Amino acid sequence: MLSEKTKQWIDERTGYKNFFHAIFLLNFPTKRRSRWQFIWGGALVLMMLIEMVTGALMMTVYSPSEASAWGSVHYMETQVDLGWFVRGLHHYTAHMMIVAIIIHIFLVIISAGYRKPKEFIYWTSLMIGGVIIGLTITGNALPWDQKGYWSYQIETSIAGTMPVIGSTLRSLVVGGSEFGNLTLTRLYTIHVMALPVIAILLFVFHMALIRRERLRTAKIKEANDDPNVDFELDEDDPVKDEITQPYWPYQTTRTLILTLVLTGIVILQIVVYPSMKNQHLQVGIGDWEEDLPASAIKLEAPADSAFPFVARPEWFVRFLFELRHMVPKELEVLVTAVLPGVILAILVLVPFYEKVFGEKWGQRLAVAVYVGGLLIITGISWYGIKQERSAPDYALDRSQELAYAARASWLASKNGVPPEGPASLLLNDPKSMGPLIFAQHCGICHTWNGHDGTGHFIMEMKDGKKVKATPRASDLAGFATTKWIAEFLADPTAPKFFGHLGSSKGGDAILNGDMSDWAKDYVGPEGVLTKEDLEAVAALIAREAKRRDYEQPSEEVIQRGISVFSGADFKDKSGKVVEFYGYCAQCHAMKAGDPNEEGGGAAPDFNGYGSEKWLTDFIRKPGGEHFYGEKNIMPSFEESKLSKHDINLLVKWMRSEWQRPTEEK
Amino acid sequence: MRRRKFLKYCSGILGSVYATILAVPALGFLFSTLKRGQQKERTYRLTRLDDLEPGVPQRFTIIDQRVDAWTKYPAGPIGSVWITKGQDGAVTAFSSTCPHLGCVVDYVPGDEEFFCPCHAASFQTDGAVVGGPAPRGMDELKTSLKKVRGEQWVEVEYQKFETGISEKKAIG
Repeated sequence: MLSEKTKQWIDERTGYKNFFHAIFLLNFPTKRRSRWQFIWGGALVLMMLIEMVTGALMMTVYSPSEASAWGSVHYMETQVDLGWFVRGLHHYTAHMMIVAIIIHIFLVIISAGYRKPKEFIYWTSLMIGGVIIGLTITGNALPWDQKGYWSYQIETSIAGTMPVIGSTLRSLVVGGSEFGNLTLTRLYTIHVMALPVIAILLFVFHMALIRRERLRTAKIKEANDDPNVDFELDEDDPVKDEITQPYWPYQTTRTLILTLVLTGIVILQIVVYPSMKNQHLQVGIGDWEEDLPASAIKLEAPADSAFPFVARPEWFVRFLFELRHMVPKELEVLVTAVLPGVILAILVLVPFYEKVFGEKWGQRLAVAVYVGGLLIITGISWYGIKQERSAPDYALDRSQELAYAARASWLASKNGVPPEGPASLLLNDPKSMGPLIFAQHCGICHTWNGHDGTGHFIMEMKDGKKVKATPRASDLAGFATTKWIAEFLADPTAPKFFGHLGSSKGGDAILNGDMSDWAKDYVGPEGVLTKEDLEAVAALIAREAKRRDYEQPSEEVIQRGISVFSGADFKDKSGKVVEFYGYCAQCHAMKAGDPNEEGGGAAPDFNGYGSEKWLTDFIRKPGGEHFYGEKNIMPSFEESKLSKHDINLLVKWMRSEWQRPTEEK
Repeated sequence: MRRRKFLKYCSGILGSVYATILAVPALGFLFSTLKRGQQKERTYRLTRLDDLEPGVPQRFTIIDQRVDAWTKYPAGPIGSVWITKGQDGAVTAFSSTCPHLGCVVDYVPGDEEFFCPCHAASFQTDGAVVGGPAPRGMDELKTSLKKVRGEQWVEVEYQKFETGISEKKAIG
């Protein structure tokens, strides 16, 4: 340490001691009576400091553009040492600050901190609170994941409903009418530059006002206590009882204790919920395999309007969102634009309540309005969240959102983010896109395990009620697997297969067609075919698909399949070679089952049945001569209806071909 | 006064805890980015031996995928090498990165020397410094020959080295 003499020497030339006094409030007088009450402001300052340090750290990694925002945050979470901690600290401390602001303003109101001459101190604290809410809203959208993207959509469109300036304000903030790169660069500028500077200016003003007020009080008291000064306070003046104490170290210690307690809660949050997720749901509802456990998901899926996401705003603006749904459409602007203004006015006008109702009742009114308002807001938000969680599809939707998030995170860790942006991770992934394409194009007639591929059921209106629609064509989950084919052969007229076809136009010809007749004649108790026969021929046909989940049967089974398919060497239940008239090759062509290529032509060609090429060709032209020919009733999906890219993803998904965690590429 | 001292002491401790909560993640966060960009040497098959003209250096571009933090780029040029086949058939390869400050070194056929256009460093065909500011000769890369379908191919282990020092030190 420096010697006293040196310190003296420096201080004479710089005045640094006074400077430190000013900054660290070393001799700043505080009320002794309320030393536990006025530490929230100090804690807010220390939390703001945490935000600035962690924010600056994240600025060294984060990149504000559509193509790299999500990737950079994912990198920060997974690759940068303690990146998850720094980001978590930044995220949760911001929310903690909003809580602290709410408590701080409450404490100010119950101790009449807005009373003359402190009105501006109160107003600046309100404004700082507003800026912090602005920082949280802009910060949440920065990762450009589904959550940030969609909640920012809602928040900016709420801003857009403001009368007169609304739409201009929105396009200024968004950088045009559409979301895009400019939205992110502006968001970033607002978040790291504009709002922090405003917050600091407000804070300086706020502190200057507090300092002025405290020093003034201290001087009045000093004059009152000094017998040499001819000054006497009124008997009932509150200043008279005030015992002042320097800020350092009395208040400092308490402020630090509170800050550390709040930071402790924040750290607990980070450790318990490292992935910033509501963990009340697990991935894996529906047909999804887990790519990552829910706890390892770092971010929601990258922002992309192709993927379903139920947008929800941040918790502190949730009530506006809920109210918006509760009122008729014409009154929406009341909720989104007028109501926030009214709330603001109620808070701003608190110092004037006492003018009208007197000190005692004015303050009581202020407390009642503040606490009552908070309770109403909490109630509305709580009700809205409860309503949403109990909605029939909530669990399914949310688990799908999580599944997409998990998939994107896993793909990004595995393959890296392509230069065109993180959305293409999912857009080029059969597992993610397949169900969506199926639901859009095929789900009108076909089903997938009973649903439309995404886990939802196709609904239709019946007698004024929404009911599960009856499918019009077969269920395609497991298409071209041994099990699926065997099931089909056992009963082609089952509801899972041709059953519903009869109700569609021209479908009767298929429902009661040759295939159904074949099953009636040869399958069942009276039929000549055994279950083993069906399974053998199913295994033979399924081999054509070359699906990844195909289990190679024994040579014996294959031989048996060939005998059923071609009718040659067919053995009946007693093991005797008999003539078999129901062989498949009469109608279906398949080289593997019918080496001499005698049959085929009357029904779909089975060469490569269920393979990528076969499926693609079939979907493109199901009425082609290799397929259903004239009997076809399925619409064909040409390039104009279903792009090459999409049909490829669809077919890969139907064959369950996608990159999996278990197998290395 | 004892109370005051105690509180000062407490403030000091609590303040350090607060500072530690910030400082430790900050250091970890910042220093972890130092690991970025480390590349392992990889072997690239560049040319058929027979396609090289004896005594004349030829430049080949190294094509590979590049991962830049979170972005993975499709295969593209990441560097280039000069490959020379001696009259005796021995193959030498030099990184085309100038050991001075990292510009790309050219070959001047008439003078039969390598020449860096940035600060006029020149090198002999065997990589030794002729003149100019280069602190060391050109960086030689390990080469090997591999027989593929009856033909001899030249393979080069491409690597990047620190520039501006006299010692040849791989980056990473």
